[in-house]
Amino acid sequence: MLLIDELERLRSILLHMAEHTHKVMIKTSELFNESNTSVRESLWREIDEISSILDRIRREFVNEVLVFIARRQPLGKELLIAHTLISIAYDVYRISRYCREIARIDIMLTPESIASIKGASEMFRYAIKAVENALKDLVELKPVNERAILEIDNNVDTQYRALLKEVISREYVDRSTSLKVLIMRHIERIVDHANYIEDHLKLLT
Amino acid sequence: MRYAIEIKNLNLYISDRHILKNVSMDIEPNTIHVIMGPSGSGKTTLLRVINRLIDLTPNIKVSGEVYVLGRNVFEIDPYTLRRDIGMVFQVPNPFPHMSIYWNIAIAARLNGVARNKRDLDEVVRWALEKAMLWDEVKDRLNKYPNELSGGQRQRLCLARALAMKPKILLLDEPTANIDPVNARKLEEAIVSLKNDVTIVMVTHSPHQAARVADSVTLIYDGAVVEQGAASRIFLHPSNEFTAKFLRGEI
Amino acid sequence: MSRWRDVRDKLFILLVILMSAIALLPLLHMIITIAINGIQTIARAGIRFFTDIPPPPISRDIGGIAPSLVGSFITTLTSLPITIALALSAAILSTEFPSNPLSRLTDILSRSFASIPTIVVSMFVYALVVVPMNRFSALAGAVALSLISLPYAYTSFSSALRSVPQTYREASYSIGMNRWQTVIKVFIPIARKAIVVSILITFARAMGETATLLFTVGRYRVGVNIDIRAPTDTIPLLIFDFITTPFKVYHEIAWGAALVLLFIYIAIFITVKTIVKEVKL
Repeated sequence: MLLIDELERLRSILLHMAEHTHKVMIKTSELFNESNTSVRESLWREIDEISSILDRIRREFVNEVLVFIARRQPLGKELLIAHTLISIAYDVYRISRYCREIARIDIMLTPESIASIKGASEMFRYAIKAVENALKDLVELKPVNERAILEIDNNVDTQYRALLKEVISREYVDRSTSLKVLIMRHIERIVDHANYIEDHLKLLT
Repeated sequence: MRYAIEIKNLNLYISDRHILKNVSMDIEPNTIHVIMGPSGSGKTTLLRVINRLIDLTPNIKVSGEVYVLGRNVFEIDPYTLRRDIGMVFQVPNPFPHMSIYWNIAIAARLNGVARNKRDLDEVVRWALEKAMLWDEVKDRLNKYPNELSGGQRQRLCLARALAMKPKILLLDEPTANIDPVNARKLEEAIVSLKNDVTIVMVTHSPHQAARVADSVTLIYDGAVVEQGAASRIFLHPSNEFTAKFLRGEI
Repeated sequence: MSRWRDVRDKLFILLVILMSAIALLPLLHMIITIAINGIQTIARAGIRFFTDIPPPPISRDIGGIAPSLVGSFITTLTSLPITIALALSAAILSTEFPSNPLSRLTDILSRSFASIPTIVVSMFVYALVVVPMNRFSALAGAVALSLISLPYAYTSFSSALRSVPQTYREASYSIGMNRWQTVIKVFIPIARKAIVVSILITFARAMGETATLLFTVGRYRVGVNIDIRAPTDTIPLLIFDFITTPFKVYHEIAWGAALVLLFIYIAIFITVKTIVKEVKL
């Protein structure tokens, strides 16, 4: 098989992983709007399952890319792509992990849900946009939406910092705020990883 | 002197066929410069212009300038020129009628590096150590090269070239006909020589080039496609030919 | 099916052996005949066969072939350096400068002169050397032998030098040798076995020349002459003359002389096999 063809095959596995991450994000966003407990429970189970599968796939994937590097000894752009595939695989996996953490908060809140936490849903929608942009660029292997993701990143960072400031300024913090901080932290990390994906793609040019 | 070797607009015709097309190249002293490219692209021909071994080919026409250590190679006596340049060939060619010792000693004596027995012994040992062959032949210096393996013969040729104490070393696909273990030993020896000589090596393997080169020139069909620092070209080639060559497609 | 193939195989081998034996048989027969007849003569004559001159025709005493033996060596050993010097120089020049018109001329000339009848050369040297000197001489014989040997020596020296792979020229140039150092220190030593073999074969052929020396050395066999300006004799000439006489003692001497020549040849070829160490490429 041609070197580029083998690389293409590996890339398609990564894109497959990315699709799963996207699915996890969508399911997580549904948690912000669903009130039915049993639906939320099944959502949680699916999110948990997909993210642990993604972990396993990621490890096998990284191994396959390493075998590719050892056997084919790529140079030039192909070497950079191989490195990028390994890096982005980690980012894609982490995004699904943070979604899982958010889902865990939701399930522990039962019968309440994270829908009750003000502003969280909106922030998560931004996160989805950032991740969708990053995954689109992954298909093209070009950092087209760099600017847009950076904007979202700044936005989310600002909100997160504002929230932290609020917590630091008080002696005691109420339950809802502390939950919001936790969720915001996860969202901030998700957007960071979307940004990292853009950075890795930038190295290819 | 900024450059050990400077080539400006070199054009070479063999029997009216345009073999080297407007080649320009600058090589810094004490570096390993690799000329790489697919078979038949003119790399060996280019190498042989540097020490004017190209004179042995009939029907050649040359234009352009080649400066070695500041002197135009076409204006000085080729035999004098070759005393500063050592060469190792694709097929190992140690002198079959001379012992291992004398293969090296004659190069030293001929070029005034050593005259009496004690100095010659010293140079022979130095050259064999640099070529990483000393341990394997130190007990049989008076034996003949036909007893050595191909890889050992090639290291002997390297030692012979080094015995001249040249300023420049030309290597024409030196590992092409050797087993992988000896090839690695030879590459190690070559890299360790950087401080003593300026090295120009020809290879058709991008991986060998990646292992040893400081700077690279890619030649395809007689013309320079791309050249520059090895670290840049092996990660960020700017030319599609280069990318194809690195992938092993040409 | 394969049985027939085996049989055919063995038949073929048998045929080849038979043919080789038939080819070798005359040679063996010749050697044995010379040996038997020659040994009888030399045994009867003893060591004096090598020191005495030939006897008068009606004689019981066998005498010896000393003049011819000495004469053969003198003429051959005089012609050899001339031949080698000229042929080797020409061979070196035509290997170093193959496209030079002089080289091409030498090649053509040596090929044409290789087949000149030896008796014509003899006549030529008679006119050129014997007549001006006013006498036959070993020198004239040496000149004639040189002329005859030159084409073969040039061709075989040439091919010996050309058989050295060009890569050694590149190697010697690359360590700073010039053209002549390459010839002397590299090419000739590597080709030394072939060169020495050529010299010995030239020697052997010169020893066996008959027609070349007919009009040059003078067939002087009543005394041993070591001055090259004096006439002398050679073994083949002696055999030629004595075999055609009706005298029995002369026939016996001829067989003895033939055996001596055979021994000289055998000695040369053993030397060829053993003396020069082969250069293993």
